[in-house]
This record gives sequence, C-alpha cells and structure tokens, in this order.
Amino acid sequence: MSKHEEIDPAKKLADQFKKQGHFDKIKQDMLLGPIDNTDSTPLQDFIKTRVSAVVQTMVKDDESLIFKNRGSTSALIEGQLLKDGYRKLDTDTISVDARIRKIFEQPQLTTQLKETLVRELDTSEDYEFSTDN
Amino acid sequence: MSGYYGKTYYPPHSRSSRGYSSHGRRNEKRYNGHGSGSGAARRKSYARGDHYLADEHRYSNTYVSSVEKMQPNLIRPSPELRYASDNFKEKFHYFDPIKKVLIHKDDMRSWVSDKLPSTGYVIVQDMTTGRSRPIMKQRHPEQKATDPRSKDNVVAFQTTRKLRSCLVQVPRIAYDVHSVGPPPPNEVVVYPLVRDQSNSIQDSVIKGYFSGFGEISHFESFNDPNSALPLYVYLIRFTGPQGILDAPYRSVYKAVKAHETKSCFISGFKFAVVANKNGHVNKIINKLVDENAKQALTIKKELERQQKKNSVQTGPPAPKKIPKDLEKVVNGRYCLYVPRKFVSIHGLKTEDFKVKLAKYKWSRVLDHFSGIYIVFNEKTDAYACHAMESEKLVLLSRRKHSSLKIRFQIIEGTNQPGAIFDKDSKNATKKQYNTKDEIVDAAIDYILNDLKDALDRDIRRRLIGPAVFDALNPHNYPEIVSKREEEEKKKLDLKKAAEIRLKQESNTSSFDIFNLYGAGFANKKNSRKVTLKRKRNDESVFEDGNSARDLHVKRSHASAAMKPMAHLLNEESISREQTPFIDSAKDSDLELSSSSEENDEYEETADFTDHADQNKLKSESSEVTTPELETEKFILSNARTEELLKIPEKYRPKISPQPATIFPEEPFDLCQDKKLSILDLQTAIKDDEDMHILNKLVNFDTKEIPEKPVTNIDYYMWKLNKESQRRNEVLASQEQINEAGFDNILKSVSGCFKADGFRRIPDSIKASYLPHRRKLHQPLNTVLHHQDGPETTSEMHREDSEKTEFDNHTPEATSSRVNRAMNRRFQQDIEAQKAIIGSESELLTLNQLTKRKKPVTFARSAIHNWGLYALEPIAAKEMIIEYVGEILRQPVAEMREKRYLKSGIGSSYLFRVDENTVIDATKKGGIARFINHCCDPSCTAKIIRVGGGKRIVIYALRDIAANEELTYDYKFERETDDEERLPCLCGAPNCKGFLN
Repeated sequence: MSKHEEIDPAKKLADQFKKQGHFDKIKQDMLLGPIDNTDSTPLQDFIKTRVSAVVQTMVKDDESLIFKNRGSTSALIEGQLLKDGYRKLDTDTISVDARIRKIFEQPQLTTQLKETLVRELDTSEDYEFSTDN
Repeated sequence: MSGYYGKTYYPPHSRSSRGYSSHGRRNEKRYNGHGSGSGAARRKSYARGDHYLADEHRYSNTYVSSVEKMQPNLIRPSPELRYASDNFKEKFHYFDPIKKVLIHKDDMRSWVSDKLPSTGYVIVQDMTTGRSRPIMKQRHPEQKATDPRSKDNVVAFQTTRKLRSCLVQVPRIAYDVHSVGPPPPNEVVVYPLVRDQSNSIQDSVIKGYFSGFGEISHFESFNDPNSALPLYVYLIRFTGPQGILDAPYRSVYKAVKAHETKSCFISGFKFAVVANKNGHVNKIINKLVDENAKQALTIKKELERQQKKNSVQTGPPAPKKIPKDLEKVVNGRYCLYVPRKFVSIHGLKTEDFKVKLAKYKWSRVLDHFSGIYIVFNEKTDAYACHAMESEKLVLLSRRKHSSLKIRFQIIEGTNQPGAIFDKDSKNATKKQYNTKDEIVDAAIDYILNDLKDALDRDIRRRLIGPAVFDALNPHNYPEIVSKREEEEKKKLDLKKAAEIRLKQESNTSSFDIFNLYGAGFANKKNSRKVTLKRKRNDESVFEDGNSARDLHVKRSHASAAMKPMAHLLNEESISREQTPFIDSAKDSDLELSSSSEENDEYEETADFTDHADQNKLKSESSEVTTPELETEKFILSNARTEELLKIPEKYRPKISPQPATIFPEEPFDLCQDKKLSILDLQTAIKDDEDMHILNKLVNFDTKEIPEKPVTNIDYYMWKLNKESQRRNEVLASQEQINEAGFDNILKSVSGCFKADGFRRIPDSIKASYLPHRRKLHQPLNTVLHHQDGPETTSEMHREDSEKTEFDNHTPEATSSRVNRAMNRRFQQDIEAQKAIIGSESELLTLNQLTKRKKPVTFARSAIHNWGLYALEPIAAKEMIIEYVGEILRQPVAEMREKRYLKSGIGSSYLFRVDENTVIDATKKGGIARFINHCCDPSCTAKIIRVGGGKRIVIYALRDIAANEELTYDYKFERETDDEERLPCLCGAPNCKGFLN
C-alpha cells in the first residue's frame, strides 16, 4: 500500500471505490448515456460523428491528407481537435466542453456517489474516526 | 691645437715618433703649413728634456723648478731617461736628449727623391675637371698656407658615405697569434628574459641549440642555491679545431650577434644571449637569485597572510545555520555550504556542483538566496566530501574565465542519521476525519477529480483518436481516390510514352514498337503484303535450296533471345536488315483471322521477291506512323485488347528488341549445309500448319527426280542423320570456342586439311576465328572467376566493364589518392618503428609500390604463352605493378641469359634498368614478368627512383577494362640478323611483325 493511502483514509476509500468497478461504470454511463433529457444521442456517438464530419471537411479542403501517412496525419488532426476544450467539435447548439461540465454538475451524480461510498464504508471496518467530538 | 697634439691625444712614444718624422725638416712636412708655432713650442719642451715624462712628472718638474728658485744653491739632478732600454732604443728612439744626438743618424735616409719636390709638397683640391681631385703641389715655404675650408666658395662635394646617426660597431677582428691583448670571450651566457614558472626546459635542448654555432667544450647550467631549482642560466664555452685559434671566439660572436636584435626562443622560453665578459655570468646569476629570493619572500608573506585570514575565518567557527525556509527541506541533515557571494560572483550553478560531486552520496543540491547547500543524508558522507573536496574542488568560473577552488563550509546536522525518514513520516500526520460524511465528501472530491481526468483521457484516446484515424481512411473518399488514381494513371501513361519516345529516339530505325499497333491500324495492307511475301518464302524452302539458305541466314540475324523492355535502351541495334518482328507476328495474326480473303492479294504481292523491297516497305510503314504517334495511341482500346487476346498465345505480338520467330530456331537453320536429315525435318514440323504446307509440298514434289537415285533409303537416312548429328557437335564446339560458327571458307575442300596443302587465309577470315583478332579492342575473357558461370560471354564482360570504367573513373582516381595518402602515413609509421628498433632490419623494409598495385592476374594469352590481365578496370596513368626480380650486374645477366638459353628456358624475363643493372625475374620475381609485348601497348614500363633505388614500374597508358590483357612495348633493339629476329604475335593493327 502506498503512503498516501495510509495517510489519507479518504484516498483509500476512493481507491476502494475504483477497485469495485464503480468508477468505470460511472464513466461509461457518462459516455454512453444520453446527456440531456432533451437530446437522445449519447456523448460518445456525438463526438464520433462530429469528428468524422470535421475530418471530412478537412479532407475536402486538402485532398492530399488521405494520401499522406495516416498515423502522423491523424495525430496532427487530433491535436487540432483537442485544442481549447474541443472547440472544433462544437456545433452551433452543442458544446462538448459545456456538456461535460454539465454532467459533472448534475446533483444526482454526487448523490449516487455518496450512496455507494457510504455503503462501502459501512461494509468495511478499516476506517477509524477520531472520537474527540 | 698644440695642446691637443702634445698632451692628451698621443701617447708619449708616438709623440716622439712624430718628432722623428718632423725632425730636421719639420716644417716642410706639415700639411698646409700649419702648426709652425706649435712646432717651436715643442722644440722648447724637447730642449727642456721632459717630454718623455708623463703629465704628473711634468707637473712635478714645475714644482721642482719652483723649489730651485727658492733654493738656488741646490744642483739640479741630471735627467734620467726612463725607457732607455736597448729594446726601446732600437725600435722607437731616435734622439738622445742627454747627449743631444740623433741615435740612428746613420740608418736614416733622406726622403728627398726625384718624385717629390725638395721643398716638400702640399696636397690641394683641384677643381678643374669639375670633380674635386687631390693633387700634389710643390710647397713654397715663403707662401702662407690658407685653410681651404675658410674660403667661402668651397662647394661641399657629393659623398657616397652615409650620415651616421650613431656609432657603428667596429667589424670583428679575428683573433690570431698576432693579436695583442687578452683574447675575446669564448663563453656565452644564456639567461631567461621572461620566465614562465610552469614551464621547464631541458639542458640538452639548449645545448643542442647552441651547438649550431660551434663546438661546445663546456656546458653548465645553474641552479638557485636557495631552492635548488633551475635558474635556466647556462654558461656555454665554445671550442674549435686545434689549428684555428679564432674558432671559439667566432662562435661566441656569432651566437651573440644572432640574438642581438631578436631574442632567442627555445620551447617557450625567451632567452637573452650575451658574451661572458668579466664574469657576467655571476652577475646574472646573483641578480636572478636575488629576484627569486624576493619573490619567495613575497609568496611566503602572501601565504602567511592567507593563513592568518583562514585562521581568522575558521578560528571562531561561526556555525552557519540553515535558513528557516530551508530547515524543512534539509531536515536537520548535514550540508556543505557555499556562500552566495562567491557563487554569484562566479556565476556558478547547482548543476556545476551536481556534476562535480556526482561521486558523493549527496541527496539534494539546493539553490538558496544565501548560497548553495549540498545536503547529505549521512553525516559520514558529508564529512568525507568536505575532506576530499573543500579547497580542492576546481570549478570553472563562468564570469572570469579562470578556474576556482571551492571552499565548502560544513553545516552540522541536528539529527542523528537515520532518523530522517521517521521525522518525515511523523511530519505528514495521518489525516483524521471526524465523521463518516467528512470522509465520504473527501472521497467524492477525489473521485470526481479522477473522473474528470479519466473522462478527458477517454475522449481523447478512445474516441477522437481512433475516430480521426478511421475518418482518414481513403476508402471513405472513393471519389477522391479514384480521381487520384486516374491522375496517376495518366501520369504513368505519360511517363511510359516519354520512355518509349526516348527509346525510339535512341534507336529509331532498328525497331518500331509502334508497328505493333500503329502499323497494324494504319498499314494493314502493307503488312499483309509483307506477310504473304514471307509465307511465300517459307514455301520456297522446299522448292529451292538456295532461297532456303537465304532465309536461314536472314533468320539467324534475328537470333537473340527476347529481352526485357528495360534492356532495350541499352541495346545497340545490330542489324537493320532483318525481317521485323511485326511481320511474323502479324503474319499469323492475320492468317488466322482472315486467310480466305487474302488470296487475291497473294497474287498482287507475289512479285516482291527481294528482301530489300520488303524492308523498304516495312520502314516506310514505320516512318509514316511514328511521327503521328500520341500518347493516346499507346493505350489499347478495349476492343483492340480483346482482338489481341483472341489470337492464340503463341502468335500474340511480343515486345522484343529484335524480331523473333515464334519457334526457337533449329541448328539446321543456322547451318549452311543444304542437306537435311530426317530428324531435322521432323523437328522442323512444329504444328498443323507446317504439316499442311509439307503435304502440299510433297504432293507437288512428285515430279522431281534426284540425279542419283538413292538405292538404300534406310542407309541414306541413317547417314543423313549421323551427319547432321556430327555437324551439330562441331557447331556446338565452335560456338563454345568462338561464340560463332567458323566461316565456310575455312572448311577443307577435300575433307582433310593436310591434303589441302598450303593456302593463305586472308586477314578478314582470321578475324573470324583468332580471338585476339576478333576482339582486338575488347578484353579477352581468359580469366576464370569463381563466380562467373560458363555462360558469361565476353560480350557481357565488355559491356559491364565499359560501364564500370565509365562510372568509376573519377571515384577511382580520388580513392587512389586517398589510398596513397594512407600508405604514406603507414610508411611513416613503419619508418618510426624502424627508428625505434634502430638496426637495419630486413623485417621492416616496406615496399611502398606493392601498396599501389592494381589487382591483376596471369592467364593464358592470345599473344604468347602467358599474359597478365587486369581484374578491375584501370584508369590511364595509374600504376599497375612493379616488375620485381633479382637485381643483377650486367656481366651476371649476360651469363645467366646464356645459361637460361642452354637449359631451354626460351622466354626472357630479363629487364634492363640501366647500363649495368638488369632485373631478372626468371627464377625469382613477380607476376609482372608475364606481361607480353604489343606493338600497340596498353601500358608502359617506367624506371622510377624509390628510396634511392631504381625500380621498374608498369603504368597504364590508357584506360584498361577489366579482363583486358596488359601489354607494353618491349622496345628491343633492332636485330640485324634475320634469323635472330623474334616474330611478334600481338595482332595489333600497327604490328611491326617482329619484336626486335
């Protein structure tokens, strides 16, 4: 066990949470689940379609892109797309960065997290609390 | 003036001699009549008898006379002559002042002669000729002399003498037996003008340097008596050969003179060289010793001062404290400290210390505003580092370009070693949470942060990356790709067209690939005609032996196997008169497709019987079509491809440099013999078409009756078969030897050469079978390489050798130069080794010529017996090989030659170097001896000097291809006796026929 976990029980708890698989599950939900109540396309698909659309326009602008080394070209394009919080992927109505932020701001996320963590705490006996108060 | 003459300038005896010269006729001899008054005064002093005395004596005389006056009764003592010795008298004295007689009166002669006027003479300047010229004039004593300089009109005449602004040194006067006075110094003192303390010089160097001025008899170097360090002061005494007295002084003079204006630099020292006069050495030594002592004193003082300073600094050991803000980091460990002042002055960085102290176990190097702290985990490490490096570690100042010694200050740690980690963990106290909620909130914070990162990463790596990669897949853009492909295709076509055009330009006439399609389109009729003509010829094979033979000859030209397209550009067209490939191809093509409708045309074209006509037709067709060609034409239309594909594969048109027959040619095609064996006939029938024709022929042939009816048909057939077999064998062997069958003329008429008797074979025929005649300017492939297969022809050799020769020309030259430089270096190394070993060892004698040798080998020669062959192309003027052998004197060589002749060694391997040296390579020698004579040689033998000896070296006269035989002109003397003459077999066009 690393030093940090020994020092900080909260960290330990977080790690435990990850080890149980909850972390990945939440992440997956974020990517796959519909972001908004209004919009049905999940984030993942949205990004994918946007990426291919952007790349297509790029290729239209410069046809030689597809005849170059695919690996390095895609890396360069990727770099462009990642700039400024995925601004290139944004459409008129939807901003990827804003969406991600919104997901994190959802209150149900924290409540959901809290629930699982409390459950976790209860099941394990490793956590001790100072009983000064 | 009289005072000047009389008193100070002349020494007493010379004064007397002057007196002598003017004695008697004193006045006459005075130039310009001066000094008569002084002469009178002098006479008086002579009369007084004191003129032999030195000045003080004279003064004392005056004193005496004054005493006389005071005491008149005292008698004046008679004068005493000081230098009254006989020796002096004889040499210098002429007057006895006591007796008042001339001493040598009898010996003296009057100077009066006829030449000189009796009254004496004066020299006057004569200006009559324009230039002043001294002339002698009789003196008239009654005339008053005048000073010519006092005249106004004296013209300062031109003089060639230069104005001297300073004193000029008297030329050195050689010291010899006659020299008076002490000898000049024979020692020089060499002492340093500028001394570099860090440098040192060996005595032998000085000695060696000065031995250049003369023979050294004594060499002494001086040391400082205080420190026993060399002063670099040298005393060198010169000596010389026994007979020459002047030699050492001359050496000293030379040595001093050489360094008078420029000082003497010997290995970094600047020396002054002076002659050792009056113990000059000691003065110099004392001066230097004093200087050294002073210097030592100042250094000592400086040291003391520093020590004092150190003791002041270190004395009260102000224990440096770790600054507050570093306490946490240093954590009570031991540190070495370098003050900021020092660090900033020299612009030192932490990296410098890190690098320099890499071998110590420091844990951190901290750069703080108060200085640099090197933190050690262990106390022992810190102390070890301090002991080893303080005031010893040398760093290069970044500001001052000088090396510095770093002084470290140790700062004692407060903790015991090993306690550090405990404290570390103690410091980071375990976080305590009071409630569950707190812990959960903290955990949520962690998780959310992590989640953000993870999500971001996922989007980047898992979503966008692969998506972009997939999106870039060319399959997603079929229209772009197809467009691109089309473009590429176009480009390729253009390129092809350009290639073809290029090729066509290179060999326009030999072969027209465009006839494949173009001629087919444009001149179908023409080609048809040709075809039919050809067919007719084929038929006539069986009717008429002669025409059949013609055809065979014609076909044999088109023998070469098909070659790939790429080779076409390199190929040279060999023959223009053969039937183009298109004919045969088109032939079958058209025959199959439209044989019936051509019957009428058959008649039309039947009148073409001649090959020349046929060729004309063909070339016409090609000429018409080729200029019109455009790129589009080369792309076969689909319809055309299909049409082509319809043709059976055998007959399909092919691209080849030369037209080729569909079936490979049979040996009997090439043979000029008219007889065909049954076997040949059988193999000649290839397919149904042939059979059909044969049938037709046989049917027609029934009328023909042979003159001599064959009685035994079986035997006749067998015989024919045998003959053809043998013929094939012979042909094969000739092929193997000569790469072509022999000319028919060479065939024996009677079947046996011996029975034929003598007949002359013309040179043109010889060229067909003598290899060196056949390829006079091509290398013979007599050298067998392991890698070469038996099928490699000399043709190929020639080609690639020519190519390599062409390409490698320049690199060859440069590389050979580099090689030679390398060899020179190597040789120098060897020489150095030799010098170290000292003795004349045979082991290390290096033949530098072997290094420059070209790869050559010997093989059987077309000229004579063995020959030498180049394995690689050799550029002109390159050295090829040295002619190595025993070096003999002329008589020995003559004897050997006779002995060799006697013992049956016919070949001469004796090479004359000069009139009394011959190199014999008969028994011991290199392969250069195999080089044959040629009247048109490729090489030349040169006699060059290498390290004092004459060597024979073979150089290339012209560029030589690989596998070419090397030859040079033997340059034998012309033999008058015809029987003695050696025939030359070199085969060169300008061959003289004889070697000598």
